[in-house]
Amino acid sequence: MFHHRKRQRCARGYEANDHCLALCQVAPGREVKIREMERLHPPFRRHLHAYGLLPGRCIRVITQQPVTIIQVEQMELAFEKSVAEGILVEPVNE
Amino acid sequence: MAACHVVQQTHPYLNGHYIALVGNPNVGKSVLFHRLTGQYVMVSNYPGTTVEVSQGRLRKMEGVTLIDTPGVVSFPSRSEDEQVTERVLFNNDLRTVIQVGDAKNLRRTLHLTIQLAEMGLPLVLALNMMDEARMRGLEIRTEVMERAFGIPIIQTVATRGNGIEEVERAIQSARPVTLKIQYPPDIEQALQAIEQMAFESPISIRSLSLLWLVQDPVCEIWVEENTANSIREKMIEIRSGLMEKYPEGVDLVIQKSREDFIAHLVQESLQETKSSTSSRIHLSHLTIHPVWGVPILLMVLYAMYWFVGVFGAGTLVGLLEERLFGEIINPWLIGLSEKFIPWEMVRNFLVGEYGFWTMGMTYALALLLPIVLTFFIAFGILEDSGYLPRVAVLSNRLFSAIGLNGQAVLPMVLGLGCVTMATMTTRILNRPRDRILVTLLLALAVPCSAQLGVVMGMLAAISFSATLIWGGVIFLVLMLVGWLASKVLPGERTPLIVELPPLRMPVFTNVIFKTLARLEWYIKEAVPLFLLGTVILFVLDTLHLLPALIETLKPIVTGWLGLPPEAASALMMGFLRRDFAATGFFVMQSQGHLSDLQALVSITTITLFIPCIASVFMMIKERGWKIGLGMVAFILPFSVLVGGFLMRLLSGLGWGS
Repeated sequence: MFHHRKRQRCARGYEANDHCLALCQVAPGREVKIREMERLHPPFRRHLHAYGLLPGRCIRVITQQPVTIIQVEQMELAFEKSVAEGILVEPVNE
Repeated sequence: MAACHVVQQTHPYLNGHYIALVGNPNVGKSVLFHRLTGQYVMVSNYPGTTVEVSQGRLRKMEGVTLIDTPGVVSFPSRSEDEQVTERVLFNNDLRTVIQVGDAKNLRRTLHLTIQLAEMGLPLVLALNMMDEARMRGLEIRTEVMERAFGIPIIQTVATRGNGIEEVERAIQSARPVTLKIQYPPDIEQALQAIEQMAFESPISIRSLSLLWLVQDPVCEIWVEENTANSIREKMIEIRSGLMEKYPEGVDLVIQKSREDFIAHLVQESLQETKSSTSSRIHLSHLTIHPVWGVPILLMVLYAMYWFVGVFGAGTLVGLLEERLFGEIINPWLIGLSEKFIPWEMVRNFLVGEYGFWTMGMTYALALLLPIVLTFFIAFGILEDSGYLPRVAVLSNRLFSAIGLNGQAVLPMVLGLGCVTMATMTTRILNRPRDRILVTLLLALAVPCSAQLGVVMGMLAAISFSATLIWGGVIFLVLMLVGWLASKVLPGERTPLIVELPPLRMPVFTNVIFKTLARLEWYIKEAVPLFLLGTVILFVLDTLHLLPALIETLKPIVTGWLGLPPEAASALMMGFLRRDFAATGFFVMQSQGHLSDLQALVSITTITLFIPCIASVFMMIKERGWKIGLGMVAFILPFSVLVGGFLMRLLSGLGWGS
């Protein structure tokens, strides 16, 4: 896990590895699949579910600055890093 | 008593036949609404809320009214907007529901379709923005979805009028739908248990039960008001059982079942002919770029300043106040009253120094109306273009320093137009803590357009460094008080989560309708308060109470703030509206009664003063007596305190001498 130290700094509560990482660690332009969001505070989690951010969905990261912006279907959603930290994703083979 | 009954609420929407237009935000609902209705449109607040709802007669169906509901992301409702839409759906007189969906976002659209189809009302889905979907390489076949939901699905491009006739035909023949999705066994059991209680419900009991299980606030209230206690207790018991079984949330389990249902449908119906994602740098991404976003924001703000500050507050006010009112209407009215009204008191009341017409109406119509109007137009354009959420993203870091998130920028910007109205829009913030914070900062440190106009004029007459000092002090106070208040108030900061709709050209009719609705609000709510303020001034002046009050203010004005004694009467006006005071200072400055230092101290003090009587009423109405008056009690001495310190600091530094 040593070489993942940089990644882990951002992942609060999630064990980062090659199959699974927090959304805030994903480079812009990459597509990922949502794995789970249970670490999120329930009201924020519900808020994101309502927009279609559900486990199993594929999303694309547009940018991580100044906040995380992702694309789900053709819709863009912006949220803070603290929220992106609570979303666990896995890479999609492109 | 096991029997239950449905209480018919008296409701303005129950009088006739209604069709509701429902959909996610930014799907072109308003455009479709105008296509279907034509001329006679009424925009009004939904009873008991500040949410605007448009209603209009359908062109092709005699005696049927179309209701354009606020956009919903999903149920359970989380905002006042969504609750209004849900309340419209709970109304049992709906003939049909038209869902407007964004063809580009099929999954999101269908999640709402499921919820609407489960309600058991006749339903038509208008799959809008087909042109944009095709442009992004999305081909949609509707047959599979039509069969799965049992509803007509029509592909539309509302902006071009495509598919409107088909929608009109479909709503004539729409039948109630009975969509039944299979949920996990324990949830199905819970649904059956509630269904067996067999009470009457405006929507299908199954969909009502589903809303109940996810703790929807509108459903909660309906059940409390319309079912017997014994039923409600059983329902609570069923829900608690499920919540224990699913610690991750019953809502997530339900949504997963829906997502599975949709995944299958989308696979059959949606074809992506080319990669739908491109890495092109769009303007929409430049607007939130850490480097480019700021100059773009500054350009937008400058354009707004030009339109509202220069054109509205300068050109239009000049034409109306100086020319029309100052040279034509007011002299004519004064002449008339001198001829026909023999009583001096009445004459004074109407056209005197604090006259109902010469001060109150002139002020409201000639000075404030053009400023407020241009501001509402500019704000409407920003709102409709989809730029405002981007401002929220850009300003998020700044607001996080004072315990808020970027979403607070909306009421704050609106406050530059009218603080009273902005105080009301703090309702868009989800948490009471955020609302209190923004209300305080609005009242303390956000100057409204009326005042800004005067302040800018005064600053321009002093020097650029004065403008910088004024801006710096206000900004510092805003950040400092915000930071302190956010530490004192209990509760944690809410992180920003916001949808970024595509940037687009504002639709003319949308901007006009919104502006008209806001203008109507301004005339109905704010103008009477200006008039009331003028009457209070007149009474104080007639009873010779004003001089006495001004006398008591003098020690503070001369001793602490270092202003000439006449400034006390200007400050007195500030209790009614701080821009009255600013105008008073403006006159003193132009007559040479104020030094540069005194002018700067006076406008800084008055910028931090309470905005106006109307805003105090609004603060009390929205936040309650205790908080509202508490804020006033803090702001009054605080603004004077800052002014005095500024005077001492600047004269110590030898500024302006």
